[in-house]
Amino acid sequence: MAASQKILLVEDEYLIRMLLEDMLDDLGYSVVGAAGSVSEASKLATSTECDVAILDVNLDGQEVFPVADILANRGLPFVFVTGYGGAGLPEQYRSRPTLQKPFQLDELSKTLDAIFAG
Amino acid sequence: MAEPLAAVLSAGRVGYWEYDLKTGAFRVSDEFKANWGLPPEAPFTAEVLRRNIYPDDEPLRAGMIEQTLSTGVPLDMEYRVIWPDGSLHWMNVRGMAQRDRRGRPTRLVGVSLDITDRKRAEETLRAETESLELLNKIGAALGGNLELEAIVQIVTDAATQLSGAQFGAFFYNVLDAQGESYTLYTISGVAREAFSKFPMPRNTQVFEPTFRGTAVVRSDDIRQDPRYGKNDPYFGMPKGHLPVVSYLAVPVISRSGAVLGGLFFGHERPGVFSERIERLIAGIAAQAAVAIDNANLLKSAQAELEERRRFESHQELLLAELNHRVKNTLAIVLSIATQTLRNSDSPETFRQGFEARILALAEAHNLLTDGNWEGASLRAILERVLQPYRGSGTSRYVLNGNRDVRVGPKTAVSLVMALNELATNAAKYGALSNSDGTVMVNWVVSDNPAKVHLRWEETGGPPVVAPRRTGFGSRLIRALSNDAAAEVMMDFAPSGFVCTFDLPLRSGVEA
Repeated sequence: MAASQKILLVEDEYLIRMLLEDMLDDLGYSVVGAAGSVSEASKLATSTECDVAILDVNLDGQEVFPVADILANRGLPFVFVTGYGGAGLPEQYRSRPTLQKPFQLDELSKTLDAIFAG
Repeated sequence: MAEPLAAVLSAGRVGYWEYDLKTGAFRVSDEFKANWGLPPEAPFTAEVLRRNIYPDDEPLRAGMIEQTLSTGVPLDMEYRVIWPDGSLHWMNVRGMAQRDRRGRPTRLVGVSLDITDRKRAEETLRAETESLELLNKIGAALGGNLELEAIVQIVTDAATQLSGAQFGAFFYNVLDAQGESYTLYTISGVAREAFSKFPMPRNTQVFEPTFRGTAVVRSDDIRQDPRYGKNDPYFGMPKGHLPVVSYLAVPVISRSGAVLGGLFFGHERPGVFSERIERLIAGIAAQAAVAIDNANLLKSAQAELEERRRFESHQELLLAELNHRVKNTLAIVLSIATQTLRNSDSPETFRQGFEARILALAEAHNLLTDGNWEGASLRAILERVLQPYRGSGTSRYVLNGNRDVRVGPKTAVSLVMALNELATNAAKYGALSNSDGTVMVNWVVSDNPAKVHLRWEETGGPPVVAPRRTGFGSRLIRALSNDAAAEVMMDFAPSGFVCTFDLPLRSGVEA
């Protein structure tokens, strides 16, 4: 069951963040932290207790990968959200789950299920 | 010497000579004297010989004689003599030692031949061969080289060597990044410092034919040239200039006819540069022109390729960015649709709310497109959002700010969306819902710290009732505060709704 799973949300567009918050809420996850910039997200990635993070690749022109590095070091799973396609990801993150914008509730649900099932 | 033999020798222009080792006296034929440029009646002595032989060749002559006397090998040598008129002639001298019964040498006898013509022919041939080899070498070196600096140095060195000049220079024109022409030069034969203290040569009467590419200037003594010494400020060579007497200058002209530069050669002795040298240097100048043309072609081709590469990578970047923005915008539209749907109780309210928000988003994009996506003016944002409520008579809203300010793209979108919610709510429930309410928007831009304080205040509307649940608008406005690090306060006072924004500004001009 996903009921108590905690999500860290990193997305600079607040409208998309709202959409994700709603979707995650509908799916029964709880958003424990949300950030819209690399610096803010890095702080949260270091300190927040979460089970999975959802990372928008482009944060107001900056790439989110430093945040991904922190999470990878902590051994926490994460999902990329991008408008660029898979080509924009660095080598070590190519195999990570990726959601293409715009995405549907169903896709988000399956992606998260796969993480918690694995 | 027997008469018939003497006649044969004379007919063959062969000189005959004898040298008595005991007395040191010479006995020589008229032809032999003629080989020395001397008349028949002139005496010929060891003293005459030493005086008229070319000084550099005397040690060789003495050595060869010593060898013949000690070893008995026949004498065969060539040396130069200086005739009384000062001209230099080559002689071939052959002979042998005559010995007494005990084998001691007593006399040297032999013949002589003027070989000046043969020597000259040989020398010319050798010089021609050398020139050809050098020209070939230059051709090969230039053909394989597309670096301008290397080409001009090769040309200068080779041409200086070939011309026999003491020093040579190649002044050549190059274009800088702005397309302005300027002149550089290479030097050969002397250190660069010999010229670096002088200004660049100007179009004086002597230099003009070279720099304009009109003619070769060749002079045995440039100081005697009518064009020499006519121009300010030096009237000839500047003080401290290396002495130039022999002068040769050949223009280097591109296929296009443009003058690429000029090759200049100097020597302190007069008459150094022959017509033949002029032709050789003209040949080098032509080769140099081709090489420089090729180098320039390569350079412009490379510059064009580089430009294209830059353009293409910029293009790729733009496409990726466009892709990102489109996808993001679609995600935003999806979000707006989802949010609107959540708060709508009928398809009609959904359609109205969705339409209004998508139009607001479009308005925000229009504003940003006007400003090249670098930002938008706060006043323009307010005007756009409130324009539908301008009304026919008196305006339903008042905008009042101490000065305008430009906000960044993300803040601009946020503000348009948030203010649109405020305006929509005002039209539905607030000051714009009746016929005489007013929306007042006051803002103050301040510098220290850089921020804008904006106050949205409704008056004259029906009594305000605070909403029971958080609608999309309130959520959006809260998100704005989160996003732009703004402080937002909403007050549902019964007399009229008030909302204040405190937006920090980046570098005093952008939020």
